[in-house]
Amino acid sequence: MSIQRLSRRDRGPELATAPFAFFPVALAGAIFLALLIKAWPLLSLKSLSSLIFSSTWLPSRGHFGLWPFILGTIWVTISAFVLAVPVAILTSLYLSEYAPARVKRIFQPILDLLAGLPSVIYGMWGVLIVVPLVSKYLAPFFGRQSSGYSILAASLVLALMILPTIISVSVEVLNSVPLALKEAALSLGATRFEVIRYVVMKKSFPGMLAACVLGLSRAFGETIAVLMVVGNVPAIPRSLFSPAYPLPALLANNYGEMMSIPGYESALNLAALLLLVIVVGFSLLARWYLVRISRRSS
Amino acid sequence: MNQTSRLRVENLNVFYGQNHVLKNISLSLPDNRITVIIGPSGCGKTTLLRSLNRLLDEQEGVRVEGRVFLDGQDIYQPGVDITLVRKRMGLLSQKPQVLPMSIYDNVAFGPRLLGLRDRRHLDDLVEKYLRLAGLWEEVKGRLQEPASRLSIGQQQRLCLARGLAVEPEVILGDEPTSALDPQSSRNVETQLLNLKENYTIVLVTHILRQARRLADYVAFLYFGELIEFGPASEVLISPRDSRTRAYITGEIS
Repeated sequence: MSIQRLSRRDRGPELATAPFAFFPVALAGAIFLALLIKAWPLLSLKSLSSLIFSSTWLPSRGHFGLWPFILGTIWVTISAFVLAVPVAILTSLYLSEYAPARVKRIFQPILDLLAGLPSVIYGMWGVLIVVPLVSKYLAPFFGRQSSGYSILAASLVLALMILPTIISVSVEVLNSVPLALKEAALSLGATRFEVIRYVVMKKSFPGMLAACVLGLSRAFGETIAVLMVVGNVPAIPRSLFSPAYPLPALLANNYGEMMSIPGYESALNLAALLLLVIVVGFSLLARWYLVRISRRSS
Repeated sequence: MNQTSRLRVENLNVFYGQNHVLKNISLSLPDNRITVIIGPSGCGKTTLLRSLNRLLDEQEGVRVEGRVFLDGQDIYQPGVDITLVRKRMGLLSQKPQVLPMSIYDNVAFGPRLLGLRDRRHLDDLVEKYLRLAGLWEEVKGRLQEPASRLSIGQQQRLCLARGLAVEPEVILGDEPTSALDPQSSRNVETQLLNLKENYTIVLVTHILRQARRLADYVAFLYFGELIEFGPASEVLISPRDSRTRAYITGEIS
C-alpha cells in the first residue's frame, strides 16, 4: 500500500515502523560493503581468479590461494548434506505418517532440544567420539590411515547438527498435507505406502526441498563444531579421510592474529566475502527453483 | 422392502475413546438406489459413511464393533484386504480433493494402482469416466494440465470420475456439494441421479431439500442412533418417529 492511500491516522505508525524494516536490508548491504572495502587492497594487486583458484597458501610469502578452503567448505557441507538428507526424509516420513501419537509427543521436544544445543557441544562430542571412531574403525575399514580429524568426522558431526532442523521442518510440511487428500487416495485402493509415494511426497516436495536448503545453509556457515574436528590443514583434500580447512574455520582461527603480515587481513576479508557470496548465491538459487516449481504445479 | 442389498450393516458400534458415537446400527442399503443419511451435525452421519469403506481405521483411538457386509463378506473380518474393499467404493468428500497431478493422471490413478499400464487402454478409460461424470467436454483439450487449475465444481466432478474409474459398486458421498456453488451442486446432483442405475449410492447431507431431490431411501440418525429408515416418500413426508418429524420440520437441527 502506498503512503498516499493511508489515512492520516496511519501515517505516524507507518513512519515509526518503516525505518526498522529497512534496517536489516541496510545491514546486509553494510556487511557486504565492509568486506569488499577490506578485501580491496589484495584485489587491486592480484586478479580474483588467481586468488580463488590458486592452492598455495603461504601468507608470509604473500601467497593467498583460497582454493583449498573453498574446496574444504564444499566437501564438508556436501558430505554432511548427503549423509543427513536420506536419514531426515525417512525419519520425518515415519514421524508424520506411521508413528503413533505417543511417539510423536516424545520425539518433537527432543528434536527441538537437539536443534537448540550449542554447536560447541557437538564439537566436543565430535572430538571425544567421532574422531576416534573415524581413526580407529572407519578409516581402517576402508583401508586408509587417518588421524580422525577429517572431512568425514566434520561431516558426520555437521550432519547430526542439521538433522533436527531438517526433520522438524519436514514433519511440519508433511503434516500440512490434508488428511482428506490422503483419504481420497486411500479410498481409491492405494496402500499407505502408495499414498506416501504418489501423493504425500509429491504434494510436499517443495516444502521438503526448502527444509533441506535450510539445513544446507546452516551447514555452510557452521564454524566451531567443524573446526574442532576437521583438522584445519590448508591443503587440497584428497578423500573423505583427509583433513580440510573450510572457510569459516580459517576466519575464526586467524582473524585478529598475525595481522602484521602484509595482505593477510585483506585475504581473510576476501575469504569472508566469498563465504557470503556462496551462501547467498545458494539461497537465491534454491528460492528461484522453489518459485519455479510452485508456479508449475499450481 | 423387496430390495436386494449387497451392502449391509449389522449391529455397528463405534467409539472414539470413551465416546460412543454410533449405537447399534443395523441397516441394509438398497442396490441401485440413492440412500441419503440425514441428521443434525455431530450425530454420526459421516462416521457411519466412513465405517463403510473402513476409512475409520486410519484414525487413532477409534474402536469399531459389529459387522459390515459387502456381497456377503464381512469387511471387518481379520485378513480382509482393505485396499480391495476400498476399491469397490468410490468416495466423494466435502471439499473436492484432487491429487497433485494432471487431470488425466487423477482419473488414471486408480487403474494404474491396479497395474494397468497400456496407454491406449488408459486413454479410453479416462475419456469414458470423464464423460460419465459429465466433465469430458470441458476438459478434453487440456488433460495434461494440473487438476488444481479446474474450478471447484469441476474438481468435484473430476473426483467423481476418478472414483468411478476404479469400477466400484458403491459410491459414498460425504456432503459432496457443500463446498460448491448452486450451479455446480446441481450438476453433481444430476450426475448422481444418472449414475444410480448402475451403482449403489450412499450420501450424507444436512440439506433437506437435497435429500428430497435425490433420495430413494432415507436414514435419520440422531445422537448416534438410527431412528428411522425407509423409502424417502415415507420418512420425509410422513415420518413415524416424533424426532424425525421434529428434524424435518426444522424444530431440531
